[in-house]
Amino acid sequence: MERLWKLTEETGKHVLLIGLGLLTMIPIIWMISISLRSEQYVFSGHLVWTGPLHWENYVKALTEVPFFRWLGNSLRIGVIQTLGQVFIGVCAAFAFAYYRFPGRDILFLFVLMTMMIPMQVTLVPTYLIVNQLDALNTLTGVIVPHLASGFAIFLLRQSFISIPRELAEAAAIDGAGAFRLLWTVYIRMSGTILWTLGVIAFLSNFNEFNWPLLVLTDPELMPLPLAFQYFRTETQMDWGATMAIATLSMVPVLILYLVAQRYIVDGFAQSGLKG
Amino acid sequence: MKKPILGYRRKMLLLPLFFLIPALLLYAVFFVYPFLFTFLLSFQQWDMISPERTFVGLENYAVLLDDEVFWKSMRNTLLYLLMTMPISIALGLGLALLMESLMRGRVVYRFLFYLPVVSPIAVIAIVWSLMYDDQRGIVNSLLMLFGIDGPNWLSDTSSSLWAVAIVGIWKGFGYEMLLYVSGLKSIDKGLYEAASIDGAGRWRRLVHIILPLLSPITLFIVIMGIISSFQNFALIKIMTGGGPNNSSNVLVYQLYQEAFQFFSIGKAAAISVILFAIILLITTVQLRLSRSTVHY
Amino acid sequence: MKKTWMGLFLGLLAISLAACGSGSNNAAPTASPTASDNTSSAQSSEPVEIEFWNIWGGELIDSLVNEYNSSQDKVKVKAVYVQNSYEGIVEKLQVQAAAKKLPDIVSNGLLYTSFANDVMKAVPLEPFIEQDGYDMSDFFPTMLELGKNDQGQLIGLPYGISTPILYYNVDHFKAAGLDPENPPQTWEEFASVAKQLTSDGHYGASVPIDFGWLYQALMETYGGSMMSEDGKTVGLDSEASVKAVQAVTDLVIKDKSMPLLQLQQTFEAMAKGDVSMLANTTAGLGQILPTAQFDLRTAPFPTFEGKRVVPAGGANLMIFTQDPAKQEAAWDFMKFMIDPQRTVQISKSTGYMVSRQSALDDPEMQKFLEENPVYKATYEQIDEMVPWFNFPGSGGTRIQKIITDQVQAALQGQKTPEEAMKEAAKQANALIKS
Repeated sequence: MERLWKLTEETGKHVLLIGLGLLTMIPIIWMISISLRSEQYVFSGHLVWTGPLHWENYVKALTEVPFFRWLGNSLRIGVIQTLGQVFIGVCAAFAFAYYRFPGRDILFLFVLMTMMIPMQVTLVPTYLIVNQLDALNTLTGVIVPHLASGFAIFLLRQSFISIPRELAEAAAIDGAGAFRLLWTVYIRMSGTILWTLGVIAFLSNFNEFNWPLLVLTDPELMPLPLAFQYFRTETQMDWGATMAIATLSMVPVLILYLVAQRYIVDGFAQSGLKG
Repeated sequence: MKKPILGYRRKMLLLPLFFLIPALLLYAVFFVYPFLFTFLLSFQQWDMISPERTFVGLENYAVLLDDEVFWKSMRNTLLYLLMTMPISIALGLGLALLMESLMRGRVVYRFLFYLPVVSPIAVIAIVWSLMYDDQRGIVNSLLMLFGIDGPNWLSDTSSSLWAVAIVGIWKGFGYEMLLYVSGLKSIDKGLYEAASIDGAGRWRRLVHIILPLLSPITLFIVIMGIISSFQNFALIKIMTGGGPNNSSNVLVYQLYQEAFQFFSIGKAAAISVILFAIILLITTVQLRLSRSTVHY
Repeated sequence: MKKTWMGLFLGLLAISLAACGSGSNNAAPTASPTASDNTSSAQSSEPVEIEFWNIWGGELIDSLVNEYNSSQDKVKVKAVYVQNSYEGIVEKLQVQAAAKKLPDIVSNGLLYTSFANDVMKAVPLEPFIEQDGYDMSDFFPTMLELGKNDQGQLIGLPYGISTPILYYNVDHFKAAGLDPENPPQTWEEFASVAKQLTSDGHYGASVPIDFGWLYQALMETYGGSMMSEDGKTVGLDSEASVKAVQAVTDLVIKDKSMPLLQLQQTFEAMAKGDVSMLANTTAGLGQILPTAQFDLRTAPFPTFEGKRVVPAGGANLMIFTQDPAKQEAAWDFMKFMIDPQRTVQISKSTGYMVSRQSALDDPEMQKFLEENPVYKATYEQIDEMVPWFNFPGSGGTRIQKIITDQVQAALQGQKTPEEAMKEAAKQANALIKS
């Protein structure tokens, strides 16, 4: 009897979760469904499209606009910015976690504060600085101002302080210098969190909209989130092609997410946010 | 004996500096300097182009306090927070509890619910704009199935902010869910079983054991939620442009408008400073409160 | 010791910055010619490279630019598509101006003519016209007026001009027992026909609620003017203005014959038959025609008490570069673009108007208009065309926003039209004085 009850309960939960899952997926289904319709049927009001599939929207998205160039820009921004953020984050987190020095806690508080302040607060002056560095309309101008990431420093520091100090001290007594310490103890023991940070930072850099919007004018330099609205003019919007490009822009994100899902989940569990 | 100790001390001062320098340098150029510059600009009048900036004292602030749009944006910024946060916390927590009690299939659900979080916001905004179309959009078509005549979401002053908030919730609850899942995983199973042996019902276990143990996560979520809801720019920019009649305008978007559409850099800077003050206030209060309520 | 560490790390930082710098350069060898302005124009053997900012993008512009580039080897044009229409261009111009890196030639929205003149210092075109002896008499005089600054200098040539017209769905007219040969000619008729057309599932009328341009069309048609005669206060709270706003508000609130739709949505609603009539720019034809599965017709913008005023929408081609060699190059490209042949091409694909008589008389164009009479309406009101009003001073864009905000407040029933337009006038006057 009890087993039956448990089975019913489990089934009920699955039904509920499947329902909610489908509800959550509606925008994604809708996006794909519109991307396969001809112009007349964009507004047919159906979620799922059962008519003839219009792959020409994808042909348009891949041939009429420089899709692969945009994808390349996004990947470039994503990879370089992420590597930079992780590198700078590891260095700073190591300093915060291993050393004791005057002003450390205040500095760390400062790092936390940089996370809290919306980027828009410093938007105008940052723009002017980037201009003075002659980096407007370059990928450098997109990447460099956000290389120091409060999130990266915070996450890594949380992970580093959870590493037993004795390990580091033992290594120091054995004569390990600062770099060896950082490498052999802290980095080696933070594999998961580094991957987690890498994946999360990459996704957010890859998807960033606001700052590139301001810095870049040249369509050839734009990342996908900026460029994919290319099929929109003053009075016209080609929804089919726009949704085709939207779907295509999701593909790299989806692949990475599928591959790295484990790191996102494990990383959250290890990031010092335990209950 | 003295010398190595001194050397060690000096190392302990210099080495951290060495490791901090890249970050500090970048922060100095791209955060501290612009931040101070913003303060300065908020006392000036400037159009970004002319070589001269005129000092106007507190005028920019006075203009803002008298600006109907500013108060609407302020109200909407807070409203947006209130609309999104409770619902996404409830959804996140509920789903986490539901999923953790499952025997199988967790990974699939987790994948589905987290997918919106990793989706590009610009793509999401465009897709939802089309979904909100008055008569043929999928949102109203689905509501129609339940006999509800949905509003003209993005064009109606009474629904535009909700329309954006729903997207915000959709995009965010997966993140909350995942944090709670990781929190639940770390709860000591023994504690849990002991309570159920004591005869505590599900509800009591939830309220008296699980929720308190999750409170640091909830605090983290609340703080992160405030920060991200104050940064809600892309959705507004792409979906509503703050309209109609500023019914979905928020501080970060008004700031953008002032700076890049109306060319009032001083006014934009003044909004920045006010935004900063609000965030500072909220987080300080949060942390104060949390000291007495969060259980570690 | 300390300095060595510092130096080392600065060096490291510099290397890492340089690394991503070169990364971006490799990626886009053609990128940012603006950065190297001075060098490119100094060498006369190399073609002069100029950047052309436009809001259209797409195949047509690309093919025009390619055609131009391969037709000669002195000038190389790079087309840069800027998103978000003319507002998008102005936002980008503003930040580029702060960076002192303006594009060379731009399709500048008519709402921003005085911005282009006062802030961007758009280059007067008369010297180029005289130097080439270019015949300007072929252009429609009302359209040439659109490109003049306050001193009467010509700073832009009309390109892609439009006026608001009336679209209507013949099938709906027939279904409602109305005569499709007689579309409403006045705003009173428009309202009563809209009421008759409104039935289960669709609305009779539509006017975009976020478009200050149509507000100007309406209020001036109702006899108002955007500024008072002495030029010191705005005319937003005049009786005509309130009446015009009242007329549209009545459609929404009293008759319930008009939905609240934004610019882009009105075209879609018209195309799918959700609304039966639409007052909006003729440039929407490019979007409505391909999707409309009914008999679509157009008529001139309705009148009020025998009067019709239609502001011109669209853009001027303007030269912003201060480099003489680039100015020459930009002018040469401009001549290519405004050539009758090219104008016809643009008009056929978008619904924008041709800007010169010879292009209108062109047999290809005439044949096109005969086959597609919907494109004709806008030409019937060419003499009633006025400039898209640019408010004086630097607060122009903000006043436009105030107008749309307040008109929307009225349309949403938050204020009466009178209250709304009084408020708009109050705020706008404060901006004009300061």
